[in-house]
Amino acid sequence: MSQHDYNIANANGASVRSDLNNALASVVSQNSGASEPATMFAYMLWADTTNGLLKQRNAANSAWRVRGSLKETFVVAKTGLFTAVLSDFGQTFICTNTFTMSLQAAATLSDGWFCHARNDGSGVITIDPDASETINGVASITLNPGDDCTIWCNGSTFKTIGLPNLASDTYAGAIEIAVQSEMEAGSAVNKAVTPGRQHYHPSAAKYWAYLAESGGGYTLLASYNHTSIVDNGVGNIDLNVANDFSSSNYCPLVSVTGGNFIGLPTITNGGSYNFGIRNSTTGAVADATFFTAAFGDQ
Amino acid sequence: MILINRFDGGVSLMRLIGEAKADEEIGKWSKRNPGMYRSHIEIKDESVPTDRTFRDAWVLSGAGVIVDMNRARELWREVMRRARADRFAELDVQYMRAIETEDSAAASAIVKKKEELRGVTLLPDIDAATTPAELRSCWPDCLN
Repeated sequence: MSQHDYNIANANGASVRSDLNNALASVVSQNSGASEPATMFAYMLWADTTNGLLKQRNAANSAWRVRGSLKETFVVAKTGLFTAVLSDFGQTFICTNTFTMSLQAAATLSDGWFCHARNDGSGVITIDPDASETINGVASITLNPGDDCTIWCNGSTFKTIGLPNLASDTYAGAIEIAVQSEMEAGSAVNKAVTPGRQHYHPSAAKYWAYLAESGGGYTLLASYNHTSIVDNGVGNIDLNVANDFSSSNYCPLVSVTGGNFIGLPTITNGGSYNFGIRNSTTGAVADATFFTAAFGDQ
Repeated sequence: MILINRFDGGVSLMRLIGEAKADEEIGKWSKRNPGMYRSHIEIKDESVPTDRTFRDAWVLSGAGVIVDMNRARELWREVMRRARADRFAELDVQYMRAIETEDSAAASAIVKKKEELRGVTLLPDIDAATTPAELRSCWPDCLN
C-alpha cells in the first residue's frame, strides 16, 4: 500500500529518489490504502482496502465514486438473511432457501452501486431496502425461483434491471399464476387463472351433478367433484364429494324437475351432503330427477 | 354397486363414480349417517328390485335385496292414508253442499263413503298379502 502527495520536495539526492519511488509506488498501486489519500486530485484513483473498492475522485475533486471491486471472489452463495453493503459492489449473489436480502442505506451505497441477485433455489427471496427506502417504487420485491436481476442504486433509491415486466390490465408483460389463496381472495387483477386453480374462486361451483330418475332409480348423467351417490330410500340421496369443503358452511343448491317436487339439501360435513325430495303438496317423500350445485370454500 | 346394510334394518345403495374407492366412500357415508353402518357387500344391479314402490322396505337377504312385507304393509297403509286425505277433502265439500240443500240421502251416502275410506287401512287383504304384487293390488275403488 502506498500513497503520496505527488509533490517532490526539495531535498538531497537520496531523499528525492526515495520520494520519486514512493510516488511511483502510489501510482502503480492505485494509491491503495485503508483510508483516503491526504492529498487528492480530480479523477485520482484510490484502492480503498477497507471496503475492497476501487474508487475515483470526481471532476470537482469533491467526492469519491466507486469504479470497481478489489475482491477476488465475485460469485457468492447465500442461504440466509444478509445485508448487501458497500463492499459488495458488483457481487453476484446466488441465493437458495427463503430469506430476506436487505440493502444498506442508499446514501451509503451511493450513486452507481450495483449487485446481482439470482434465486437459484425453490424458495422466495425478498429484497428489502433500508428503512422506508424503495426498490422499483415499492417497499420490497421478491425473486421467485429462477428469477434474477441487477440491483442499481442512485444514492436515494433502488431499481432493478432484468426482472420481467409484470402484466396488468393496462400493460403487457409476464404474468404470474394465481395460487389457491389468491383465487379464494378473488381480488387480484394481475394474476393468471389456470385450469387446476379456477375452481377455488368463490364464484365457481365446487360441485355439480345431474341425476336422472327413472322408475325410482337414479342415473348420474353428468357430475363434477363427486365420488359416489347413495340411494338411502325414496327421496333420500347422499352425495359424497371428492375434494371436501373446508367446513360445513357452504351453499348447496338443488332444482327438482316436476312442479310438485322440492329438494331439501342437508349438510352434515364438508365431504358429503344429503338431498331429500318431497312432494310439495303432501310432504310425502318422492323420487325425481334433480340438478345440484354448491358454492363455498374448499 | 355397494349395498350398505343399516342398523335401522334398511339398505342404502352406493354407486362409485370414477376411481373412487369403496372403503373411503363408505367412510364418508358413515360420517354423514353416524351409527347407521352395520355392514356392506358388493351386489349386482340385477339383485336389486326394479319396482321401487316399496323401496323403503328393502332389506338385505343373502346376496340380494328383498322386500320386508311387514314394513311394506305399513308403507302401503301410508300411501292409502295420503290418497284418502284427498278423497276426504272432496267428500267434505260434497257433504256440506248436501246439508245446505237438505239432501239427506246424499248426505248419508257420503257418510258411508267416508266410513269406507276410514276402513281401508284395516282391510284384511293387506295383512294377507305375501308378495309386493299382492299388496299393491289391495287398492279399493273408493281411493280412486
